[in-house]
Amino acid sequence: MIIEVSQCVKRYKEVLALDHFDFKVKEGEIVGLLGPNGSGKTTLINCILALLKFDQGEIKLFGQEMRPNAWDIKARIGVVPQELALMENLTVRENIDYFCGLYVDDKKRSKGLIEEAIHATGLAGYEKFYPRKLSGGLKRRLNIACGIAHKPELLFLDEPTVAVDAQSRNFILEQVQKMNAEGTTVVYTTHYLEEAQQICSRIIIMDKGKNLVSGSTEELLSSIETSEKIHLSLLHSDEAFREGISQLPQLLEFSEEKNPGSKETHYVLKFAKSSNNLLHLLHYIQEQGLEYTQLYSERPTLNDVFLELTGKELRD
Amino acid sequence: MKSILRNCAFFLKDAYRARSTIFWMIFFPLLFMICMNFAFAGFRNVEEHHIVLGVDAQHPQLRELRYMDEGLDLISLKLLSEEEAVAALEKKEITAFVREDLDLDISQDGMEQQIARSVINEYRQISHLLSSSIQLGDVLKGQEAIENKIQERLLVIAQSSENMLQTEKAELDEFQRIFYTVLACFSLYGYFGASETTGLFQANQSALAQRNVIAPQRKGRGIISGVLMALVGTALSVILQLLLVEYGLGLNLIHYLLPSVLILLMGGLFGIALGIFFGTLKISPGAKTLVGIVVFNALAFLSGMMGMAIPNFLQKKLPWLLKLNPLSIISQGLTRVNLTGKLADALPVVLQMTLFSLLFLIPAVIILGKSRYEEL
Repeated sequence: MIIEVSQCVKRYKEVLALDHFDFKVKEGEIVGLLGPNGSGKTTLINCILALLKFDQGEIKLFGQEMRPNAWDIKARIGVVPQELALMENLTVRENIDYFCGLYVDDKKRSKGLIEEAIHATGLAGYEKFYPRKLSGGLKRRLNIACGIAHKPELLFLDEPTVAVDAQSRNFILEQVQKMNAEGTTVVYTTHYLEEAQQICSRIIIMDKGKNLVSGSTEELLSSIETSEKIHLSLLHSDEAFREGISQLPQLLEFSEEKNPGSKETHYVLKFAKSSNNLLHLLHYIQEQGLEYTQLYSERPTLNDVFLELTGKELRD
Repeated sequence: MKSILRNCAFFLKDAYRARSTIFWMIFFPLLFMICMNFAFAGFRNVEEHHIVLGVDAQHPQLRELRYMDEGLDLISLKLLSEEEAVAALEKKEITAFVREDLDLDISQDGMEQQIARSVINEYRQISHLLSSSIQLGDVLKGQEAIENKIQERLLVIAQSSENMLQTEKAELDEFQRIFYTVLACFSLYGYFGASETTGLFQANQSALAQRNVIAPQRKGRGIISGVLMALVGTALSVILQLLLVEYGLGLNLIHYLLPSVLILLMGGLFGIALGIFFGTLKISPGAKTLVGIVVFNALAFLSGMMGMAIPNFLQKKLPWLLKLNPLSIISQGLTRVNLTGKLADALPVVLQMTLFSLLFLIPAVIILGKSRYEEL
């Protein structure tokens, strides 16, 4: 195990930020920490990195207790914090050089690593730019470059794609996967479930400092009752329709939303495991002679997992 | 050591590429000194005065004028004719030529000529006294009384002339003290660099600080790099200020370089110690800068940057306040060493500044020793 967190408790006065949290990461994984704002993701990371005191529990990295003066452990870690952590009056190259130099003594090796980091994060051509001259996406890339240049064995990325354009986001996700392929174990915190689904080999869903559930995307999605969601938009609907669909086989629940300024009503129907849900619904609609403008099926998402576990949406 | 110097190089680049740093650390002190020089220019140009009065050997009151020569260090007589006096005035060998009617011939009107005039005017008044005494009294008694009166009046003249000169000297001293206080104030500016760099290693202050703390480097090394950076900046600023003061403005304040530099260096170290202390506190960088500006200006004001009235008042009423004011200690130290030239006269300043620095460094080290926080 690269990371072992056992029964970690952290309180901020009245607030229980981590509630007997257990967390393990094996070598070579990309583990996603998924949870809404205030769920304890960053607190957990900061406790693991020995920045925060915690009240109970044990934290080990690479089999050793993590302490502020554990220089040998720190040398094997890379961090990309949620907030940009850059020296504003150093160029892109100088920023990467400074942070890489904190981990790598050999100047020659450091030089090579800096070049690799610049190219890996798509910053070639921007080496002499100051951070204030970069776009938000490029700043994020620089933030990442500073954390990965020394090729850490274990990398923490704390919401690295916040406020980032789609192109940069995809780029970042690709780079994380590439680094993992080269041997880096990654802990990736996010509240964007699509990201977690895309790159994480295992996901931990957190809320209110608790580890709610852990597993691969497939395992998590299979763990909930809902196996299919059907979206339907009708021009006209009434109570009779609602009564009718509530009789459909395998239907777990449905929700209704009326678009303001429109005659359409949008339904989301959740079904348990079955292969003919869409067929049954379509048959019913045709029987009733109803006009629909939209009808499609999708698999449940991690948001549905979170909703079933906590009763609320993952996104605030 | 290699990592310390490496970090120092990066911190120097980061700090001195900021225009605000260059302005406040380098240009502002120089501009301020130029403005202060203009503001207090009237207090300068006081030289040692000596009045040479030219007088004809046949002058009817030569005897009385000789009394002045003997009684006042300030005045000396030179016997020459009226014709010789013209050339002597041109060559500035004499301050003024005394005519028979006690009017003065002068070639220019300056401080010395003013003093000469006041001395002769005083003597005119004595001459009236001389006449009335001879008429009224017994010749011997009158003569003795006249002699005593002359001596007495000569003392009064000497006193008023001395007072006039002392006032000028005091004003010049005040000018020097003001500038020593200005130099002392700017020597503390290492505070700003030190507070900023220290903040880079307090994880509860910024994400950048967290990144530095998570890296496998001891906090102390980072702080030392910051201290070196602040020292380099302060040294550069002080050198430029001294060059301006001595060669740009020609103020001739620094007569003994080594002890003066030592004192200013101690001021720099104190400023850095103060900066390290405030750098450990979880307050915004703007607030830290404001604290520095307010504190330094207040200390400078109490030390006499705007004139000696305040420190003179404090000297009488609250002398302990001056002894506790680091700026006052530094400026007084500069005054002393530039009078005596002795390195030993800088030692009390070194000791006091070391104590003051430790007063802030010790709690700073305790706070810096904390590596994990309750919250970030």
